[in-house]
Amino acid sequence: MLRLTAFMLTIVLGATSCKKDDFKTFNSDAAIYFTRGEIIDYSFSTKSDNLVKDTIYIPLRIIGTASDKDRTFNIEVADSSTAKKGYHFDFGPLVIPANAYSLNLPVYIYRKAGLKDSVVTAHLAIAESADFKLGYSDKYVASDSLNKLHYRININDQLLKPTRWDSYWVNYFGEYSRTKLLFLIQHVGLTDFVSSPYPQNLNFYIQTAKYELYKYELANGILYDENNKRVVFP
Amino acid sequence: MKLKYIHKVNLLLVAIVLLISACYKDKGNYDYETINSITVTDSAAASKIYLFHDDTLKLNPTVNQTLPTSDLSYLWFVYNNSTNSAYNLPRDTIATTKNLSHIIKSDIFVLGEVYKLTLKVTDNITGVSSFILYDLEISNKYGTGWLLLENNNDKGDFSMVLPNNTAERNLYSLLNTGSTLGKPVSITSSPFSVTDDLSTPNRRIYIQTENDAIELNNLTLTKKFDIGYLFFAKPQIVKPGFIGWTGYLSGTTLYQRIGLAVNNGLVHTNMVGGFPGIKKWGEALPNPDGKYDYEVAPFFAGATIYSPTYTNVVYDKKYKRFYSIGTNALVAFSPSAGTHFDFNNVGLDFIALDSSNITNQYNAVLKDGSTAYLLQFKTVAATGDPVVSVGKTLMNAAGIATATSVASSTITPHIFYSAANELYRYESTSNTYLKAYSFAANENVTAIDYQKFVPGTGNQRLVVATWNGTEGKFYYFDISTLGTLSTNYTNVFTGFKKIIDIAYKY
Repeated sequence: MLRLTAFMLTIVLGATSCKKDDFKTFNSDAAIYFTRGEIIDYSFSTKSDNLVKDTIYIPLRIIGTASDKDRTFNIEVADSSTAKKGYHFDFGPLVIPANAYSLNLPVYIYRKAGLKDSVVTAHLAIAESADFKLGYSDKYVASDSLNKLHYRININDQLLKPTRWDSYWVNYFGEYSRTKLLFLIQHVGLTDFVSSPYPQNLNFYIQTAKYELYKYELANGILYDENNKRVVFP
Repeated sequence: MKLKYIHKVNLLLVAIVLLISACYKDKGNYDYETINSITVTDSAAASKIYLFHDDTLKLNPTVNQTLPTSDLSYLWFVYNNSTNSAYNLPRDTIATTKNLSHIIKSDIFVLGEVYKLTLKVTDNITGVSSFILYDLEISNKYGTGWLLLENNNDKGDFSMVLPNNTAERNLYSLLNTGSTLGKPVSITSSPFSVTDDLSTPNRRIYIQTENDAIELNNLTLTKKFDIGYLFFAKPQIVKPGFIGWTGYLSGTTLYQRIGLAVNNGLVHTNMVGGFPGIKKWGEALPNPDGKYDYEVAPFFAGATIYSPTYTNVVYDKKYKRFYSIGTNALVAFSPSAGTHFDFNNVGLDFIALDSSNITNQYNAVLKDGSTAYLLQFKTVAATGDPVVSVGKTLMNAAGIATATSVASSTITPHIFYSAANELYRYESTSNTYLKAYSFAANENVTAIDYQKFVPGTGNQRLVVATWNGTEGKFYYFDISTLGTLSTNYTNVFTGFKKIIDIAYKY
């Protein structure tokens, strides 16, 4: 009787061991967010005169698993925006491709005459869609002005003080002046004041700024800025 | 109870049937024949075989047969067996003969890779095969040794003297077909691996010529980059004197600190570290006045500790003073750094700058006309004491003011130098000198270098290059533990062009 019981137990265990595993997967609603909520400045002033359209990219990520089909998301342009979608800027396809977890969304920026004397701003916010809900609402770092559901693009065609000058560039190029900024653009080739260069690239910009200013002064005399201060690089 | 009994009987019947069928006698009428059995043996297969390119691999395995036949076929094939090689790499058939005689070429055998070589012997009658496997490694013939930069009618080339005391000549032209070097200036070889994200981390070799500078592949000694790629922006005037790396010690291991280059007398730096992005040499650094009006000698005094007071020091030949190298500018010394001399106003002409037998202490040999001085200084100040000058000595050293090459010992307080065809040793502690060796009257010294540890022996050595107008020679001199130079050379290698600089490839 004992052997029969053991035999039956083995049969039962064997049968149950073949039960299909109910694998747990992420089954919450998919969501989307900006990788970092940022305020960026785009200026045509550092570009070629012939450039009438340019493209910048906004990184986005999704929460949840990738899908085997393309999914659409929404970005809302706030009413407070002075930049007009379709006139000053436009988005590339608001689509997370199949099998993708992230996207660098192309944003097309258009050069318009009015940008010579005004700055327009696009206040962007993630909005829900059929495929995606709102993603994380925290900040990438606490000091960021915007959370991960918001993004802001300032567009102009003027030489404006970069937003990060006083928090970043001042450490390497000193006090801001429009003349200094123009010098960096024209003589050093530095046009991206939004992102931070890698350390040795930054050294190269600093070294080049010093050397180019030295050569400039040898040829043209001291360079003074709009406030009649000598342009120097510390 | 009856039902249970029937089940047991059924089980028993099944077992009996299985047992009976298992014992069924096979009535097949097979004709078993003994066939030839092959075994292949070779004592050479017992250990890894190391080969250089252009070596001829000769293998003569023994093939044993139980029923000998001459109807055998042979297939030698090889595949890359390195840990990082792909499984789908093709195998290459290199011979179909019993014995192998194959020249190792780079079309199949890549430098530094390991290979599995297989001999397959097949009895064509039976189709049965036997195998023997060999492990091969393609070694770097030019792995270590002295690099001798030569000037041949204002064209550059280099040779090597290897640890086995053989010379490999004209290697640049041999290994870089179609590429030529201009008038050579200097050669450098880093004793530690450099991670600059320009290429795979490894030791770096640079050759400077009159109008260019190149980096060599450390493994293959082929040209890798030119100066236009090594710098973020190619300098407007290309006149390189030095490109190389300084390091610091952690324990007993040297690590990269910073890349330093001298081009047209100006200093360029290459900051590396654990941050992303490719690292190249930047723009020239200004002097402490913000000007580019200086001309440094292509020599650097560094420091072995991670955070020294003065990380790297150079000498300005034009304004006859020292600078410390900052990240983006040359920096003046603290006014209180020198009591024996003023670092910022030395006023002497440059002869040489080299390390010494004291860690973080350097020897600068300078002169005023025919009067030479030894200026000694530290790059690490003591806590609470900013003074880093150690001494200024009027040198009692014949011929030092016209020295063509200078090398300091890092074990004993001696400086070896040459003037014309004479080789001298100066002792800094006693301020005395002695003539160590005289070459033939017309055989002048063109370069000397000091080797702290000769691989294999651990002894010190002085290497000396000479030129007699038609032939370059390269000498080894032993140095005793007390710093005494042997009265005669131990080895001489002849038949070179004019050797203008030497460096050891680690």
